[in-house]
Amino acid sequence: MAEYHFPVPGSVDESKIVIFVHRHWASFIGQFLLSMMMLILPVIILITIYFTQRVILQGLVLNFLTLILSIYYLITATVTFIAWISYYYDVYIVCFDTIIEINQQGFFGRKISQLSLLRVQDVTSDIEGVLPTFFSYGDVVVETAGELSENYIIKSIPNPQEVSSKILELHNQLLEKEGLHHQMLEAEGVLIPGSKKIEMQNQPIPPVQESQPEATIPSENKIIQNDETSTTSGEVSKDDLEKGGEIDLK
Amino acid sequence: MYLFLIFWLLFLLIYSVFNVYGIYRVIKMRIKGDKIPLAILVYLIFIGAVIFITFTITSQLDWGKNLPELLHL
Repeated sequence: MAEYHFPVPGSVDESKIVIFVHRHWASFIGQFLLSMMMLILPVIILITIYFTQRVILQGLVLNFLTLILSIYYLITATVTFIAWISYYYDVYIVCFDTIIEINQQGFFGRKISQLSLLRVQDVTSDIEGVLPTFFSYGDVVVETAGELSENYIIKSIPNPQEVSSKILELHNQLLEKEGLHHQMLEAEGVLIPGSKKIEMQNQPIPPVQESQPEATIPSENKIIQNDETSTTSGEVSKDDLEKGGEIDLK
Repeated sequence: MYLFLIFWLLFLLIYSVFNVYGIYRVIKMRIKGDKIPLAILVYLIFIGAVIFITFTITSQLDWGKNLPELLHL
């Protein structure tokens, strides 16, 4: 992340920026080569005509060709420049609490989206294709929580794995800071609802009643309950491993 | 034949206005430390070169002929 130090326009506090990243240059190669081809092709054609059919390049044709080629080159230059601006100003900023996506569309289009890191549910990095694998760039897909959840795609950035793990790390830090981590785990069914309160009161967790059906309690919850009664410094014996399912740490 | 030149000059006028406003917008949304000044410089040099070459060539061509005459109409 070489552009870490870049300040950001607008209201984002520079000190809050963790990642500041442009699209990888290799994602612009296709457009660049196309532009180069468009610039070189007329020259090649003209040289070929000049050495083979020089008679054509006379009188009215030459006048007309000069103006048409001039217009052609000016438009090609502008299209290339606009494409470069669109590429260069596609910026992704990850702060301590938000992800900001600035999507530039030519000279006159700019879309800025912000996503709270609290809404992040899952982060996936995706490197697909020959060029992305070779240059190590790809997409980061951020899945958001909520009924109208939608994927938030950070496109063609360098080191997507690094960025995705950093986003997840920041998300967890934010949850801890806001005191929401436990609630989130409870909502996801990882922890038993209310287990935090019991720990805070330093009371032993009541044993699971035999009459309660086993299927209603997720196996992860059981392990958490066992943590209270068993030591965590022991080793897992081979016999325990072969049991499958529940393992008591000895 | 002058008609072509007038069309071209008209295009150049619209093109210049578009570019001046476009570059103004780009400068307004700059990020400190970016490479935009260099890019704009290269872009303007390229445009200037194209226009200069076109002017040089057009100034040496004969634009006084009548178009229907040239087309043998």
